[in-house]
Amino acid sequence: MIRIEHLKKEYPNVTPLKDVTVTINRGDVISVIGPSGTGKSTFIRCINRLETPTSGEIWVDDECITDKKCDICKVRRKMGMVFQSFNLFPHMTVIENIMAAPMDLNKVSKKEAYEEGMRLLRTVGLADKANNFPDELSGGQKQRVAIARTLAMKPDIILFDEPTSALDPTMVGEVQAVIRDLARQGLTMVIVTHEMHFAREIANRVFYMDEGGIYEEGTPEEIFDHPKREKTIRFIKHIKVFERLIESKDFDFIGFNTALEEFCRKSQTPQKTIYRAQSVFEELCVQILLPVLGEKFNLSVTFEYSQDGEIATMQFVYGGAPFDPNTSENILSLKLIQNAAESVEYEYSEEEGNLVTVKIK
Amino acid sequence: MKAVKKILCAALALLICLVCFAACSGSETEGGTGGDELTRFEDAKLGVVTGSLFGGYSKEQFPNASISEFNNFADVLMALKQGKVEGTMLDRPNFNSVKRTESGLSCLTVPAYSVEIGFGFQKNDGGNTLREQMNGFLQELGESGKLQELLDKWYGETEPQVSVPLNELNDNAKSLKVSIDTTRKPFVYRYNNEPVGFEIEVLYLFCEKYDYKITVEDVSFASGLAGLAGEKYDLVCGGLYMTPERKESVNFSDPYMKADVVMAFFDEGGGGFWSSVGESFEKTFVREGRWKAILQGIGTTLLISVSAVLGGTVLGFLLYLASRSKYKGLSAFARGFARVYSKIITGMPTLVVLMLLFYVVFGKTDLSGVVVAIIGFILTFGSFVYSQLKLTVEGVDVGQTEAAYALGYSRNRTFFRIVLPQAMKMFAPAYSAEIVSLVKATSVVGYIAVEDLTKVGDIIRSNTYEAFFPLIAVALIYFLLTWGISALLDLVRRKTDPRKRKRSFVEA
Repeated sequence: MIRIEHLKKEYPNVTPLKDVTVTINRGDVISVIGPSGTGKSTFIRCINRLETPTSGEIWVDDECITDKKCDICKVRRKMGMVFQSFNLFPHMTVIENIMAAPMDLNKVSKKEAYEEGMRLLRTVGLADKANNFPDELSGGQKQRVAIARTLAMKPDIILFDEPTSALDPTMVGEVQAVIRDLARQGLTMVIVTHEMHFAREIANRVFYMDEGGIYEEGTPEEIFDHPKREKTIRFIKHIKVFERLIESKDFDFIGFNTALEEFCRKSQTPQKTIYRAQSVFEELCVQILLPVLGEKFNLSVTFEYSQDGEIATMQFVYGGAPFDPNTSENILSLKLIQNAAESVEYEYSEEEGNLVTVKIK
Repeated sequence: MKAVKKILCAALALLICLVCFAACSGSETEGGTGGDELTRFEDAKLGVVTGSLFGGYSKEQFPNASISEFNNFADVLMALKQGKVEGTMLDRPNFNSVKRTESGLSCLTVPAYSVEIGFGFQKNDGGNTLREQMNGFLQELGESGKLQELLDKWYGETEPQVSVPLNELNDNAKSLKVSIDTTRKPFVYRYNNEPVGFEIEVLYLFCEKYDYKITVEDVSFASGLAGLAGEKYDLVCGGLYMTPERKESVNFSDPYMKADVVMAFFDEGGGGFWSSVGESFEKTFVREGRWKAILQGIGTTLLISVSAVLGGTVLGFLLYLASRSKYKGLSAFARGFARVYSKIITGMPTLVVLMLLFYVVFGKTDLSGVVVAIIGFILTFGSFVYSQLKLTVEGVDVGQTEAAYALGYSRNRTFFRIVLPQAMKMFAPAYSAEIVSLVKATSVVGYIAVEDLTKVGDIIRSNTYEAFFPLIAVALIYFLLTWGISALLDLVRRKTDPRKRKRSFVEA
């Protein structure tokens, strides 16, 4: 359906895409993942030529859209796009947002456009907001309207450019549900996302992008469970493990707990476990270890949650003289840690220094 | 309707404040009767009209006096009445005519000064021919005794009986372009809104004899002299003093009279303001049908404003569209042009732009002041529309354009359907504010011979020697005009706001 050959995109300072060759088949649902700044957005924006490629060819159903003579407007009508920032038209109501393009571009009658628009609004659950203006909606509702607006043009393929990145965590679910629904209907989709669980569950193909191209491609199982190449392995491991290095007492502890909570949410850790992990960090690190460690130190904290066994573990690694927190005189903190943890194991080795492993209940 | 009440109350309060201010400052006038000696003016505050000779005379005669410059004689007189200045020099004919309406005015002859008065022509062959004709004509008038008769009629101590129909001259004759300064009673002034006066009558007789017709433009004599140098006018009227300095650039006729210079002052305070409100009203609006002139002035002000808004909007819009054209050459040219043009226009006072257009760019054409004013204001307003449009369109989030492109909208349709309506929301308030300031800015067009509201007010002031009333009336009219316009624009804006539209339109 879409054939991309030797696609290259250059900016004056950076080259996000060096050489991309890939084919997208009808019915594919493709998740595009990877670290920031690796050209994921540039890649899908090239597909509908919102970015003009520096070189290379893109074929859509036997039409070369990188050709100057190609009527790109016509191609775009069959190629929807959903943006991170929704980009609803603020001077139109919700239903007008959806009706505008079919009426303006496909010469659909007002009545038909309205009926189709209302049908789409019902499928995204927002029929009662038809006559509201976009700024009266929540982020999640806006994105659902944006999806309905894209669907109104009856596209063959929809490109999603981080559709949930600008949303509150509470609203991510409603948008993902709508996209999941589209996937079930067999719509061809390319989705750039940072939500790994979503990326894994919805796609039949996953592109891991790095080093200016598609670094590794495979089924969700291949990419998430058995990544082959070095950078993919590191990326996949990193998204499963939360790690921070603490070097001084001026470290932002509140920020740490916030980041930890965000990570846990993404990896769908139960709320109880999050509280316990935060409590262990608070007591063990702030109350017990910091007073002992002095001015300069290296303290590495990692948190890992495995969904299979529903096991959460925290590890604290630090240098300096051997010190077992279990022997601390801070009885109160120790008690609190015992409330939250199943076990607290301490090891010391010459090379690694002190290692405390805490299993969260 | 509440808003209307509020506005009217505010207007009334404004009027009362102005009137009180005027009344108070009027009563401050110094009460001393003073001796008959000129020495009392040695350290006095003296008023002079900018560009008149009396500035120099005053400095020579009273080196210790402080001298304030005013735009026209009506302003000097107002200052004199209020006690802001204690005396002013003027020529005897002028004094006589002022004295008729201001009985409290007295004068002393300033010794050693008298002025020669004559007509001014261009310094070239055409000017020479006309001048010779005029000199011959003046000589004839003198020999027949007609000149003295006219001088007695216009410059005497009684109000002249006016009857000069300017329009009975031969329509097919060659036209003389004459600049007149109608603030110079009795040389040239207005009666029933027609230019009259000694010089007008002489000019009329002259044209009858040599078969010319006249087109006049009412400008200050300083502007008239500039226009003469720029060959815009053939002849300058307005009781022109012939000084050596002026003779360098002006081709003067023989003087038709020599007038004494006097120092004028008020013996007593300018008189109660309150008692004369009724009379002032009568003089300003009713007498000689002056309300018609005021209505015409309002009409001219509105004509210039409306034309400038329409023309400027079209100009600015087209320029902006050209600047974002997909034809690279056109867009680059339009952008460059707009940048230079906006810089030039915004970098100069509107008045200077107008004067340049009138006296230099269109100096030798027959374009009337109104047309030049409209062109000038179209240029200023167009520059505003262009830059404001650019600003607001750039202010629309680029995501809007991308979303429209992604749906399949073309460049142009994206602009008109998606971007422009959003830009308009930010554009509209600035646009209406600019329209209101444009209406007020048009008050300078009097400098290029246009009789707009302000100029009509000035003419009335210099013919009635009414100091405040015409000013206050003009201020109030401007206020009501601008208020009306902004109320209208607000209404339009409310009606066209998509937010205020009935939301359920599609369900009907």
